[in-house]
Amino acid sequence: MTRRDPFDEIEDLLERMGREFEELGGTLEGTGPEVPRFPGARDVDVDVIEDDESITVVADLPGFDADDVDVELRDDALVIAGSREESTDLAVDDAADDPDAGDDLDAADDPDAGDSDDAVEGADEVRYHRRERRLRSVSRRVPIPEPVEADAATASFDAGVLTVTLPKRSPDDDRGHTIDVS
Amino acid sequence: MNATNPFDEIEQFFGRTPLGGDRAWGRDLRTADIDVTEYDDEFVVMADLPGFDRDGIDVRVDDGRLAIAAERDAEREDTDRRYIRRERRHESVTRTVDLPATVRPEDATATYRNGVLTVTIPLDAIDADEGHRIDVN
Repeated sequence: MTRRDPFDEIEDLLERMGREFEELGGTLEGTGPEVPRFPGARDVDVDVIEDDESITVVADLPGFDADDVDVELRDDALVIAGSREESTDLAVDDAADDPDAGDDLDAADDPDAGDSDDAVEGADEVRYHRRERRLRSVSRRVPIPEPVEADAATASFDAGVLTVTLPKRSPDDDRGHTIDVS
Repeated sequence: MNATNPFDEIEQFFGRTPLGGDRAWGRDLRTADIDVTEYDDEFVVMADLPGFDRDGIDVRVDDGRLAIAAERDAEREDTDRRYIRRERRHESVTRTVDLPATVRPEDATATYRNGVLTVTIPLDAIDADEGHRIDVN
């Protein structure tokens, strides 16, 4: 009826392409439900589980506080966002992302510096051996395949895992008002 | 062990064996993402381990290596439940990290918060690496 937002369609298209990409990769890989990972392609790993009454979305958001996690049901997709305060967690790591941020970074930016550089003793020397964790804000849009009761949705956050339960809308609701026959 | 091999990072990015083994497209499915940071006086390992119980996480130092293992109960198999997407790691996870010779593992501490394990191991004074230092008066 109403014209759809063209951006929604683009998002849908991207989502669909992503899914096909995943399926293609999954076939090549031959590892069943495990989805191949494209570096940088996905910020948040999610499971979507369906049963008779509800659709449950489970998302890994390690290192976030519950307050930093935002969940919104937008049309037929659940949008999950985790925002990171730049100063908390690891101030040093955040600083290292910014090349201008301070002199203790020279050691961090140049992996060899720590070896050759007999830096002033007691100076804050920091060496990163591995940096695999994502330290920035993240978001993910998860399409929800069936109509759900947005008002009855519940969410919980525990040990870095977000769980959102979306009760399915009963089929009657789609067909308009039902009238009891007495 | 201080110098980072640039090829390591490239390999890590693309995955060492893109079409084989557990390592799929750059991320090993049975491992955890970690940051390893060495400060003047301590060595800090942070590992993303979302969704574990504290009791399910085992951290030990053995032979100059830090070993992190996290286990969780097998998921209930339920025919009523159908996975539409399944991207999260469900397996148990292990990861080891080489430690510098100067660590004092007996003084190590570990915390688990919001799905992130942080292990902090104090380091002996750096002099040990560089030979004896003689002050000039």
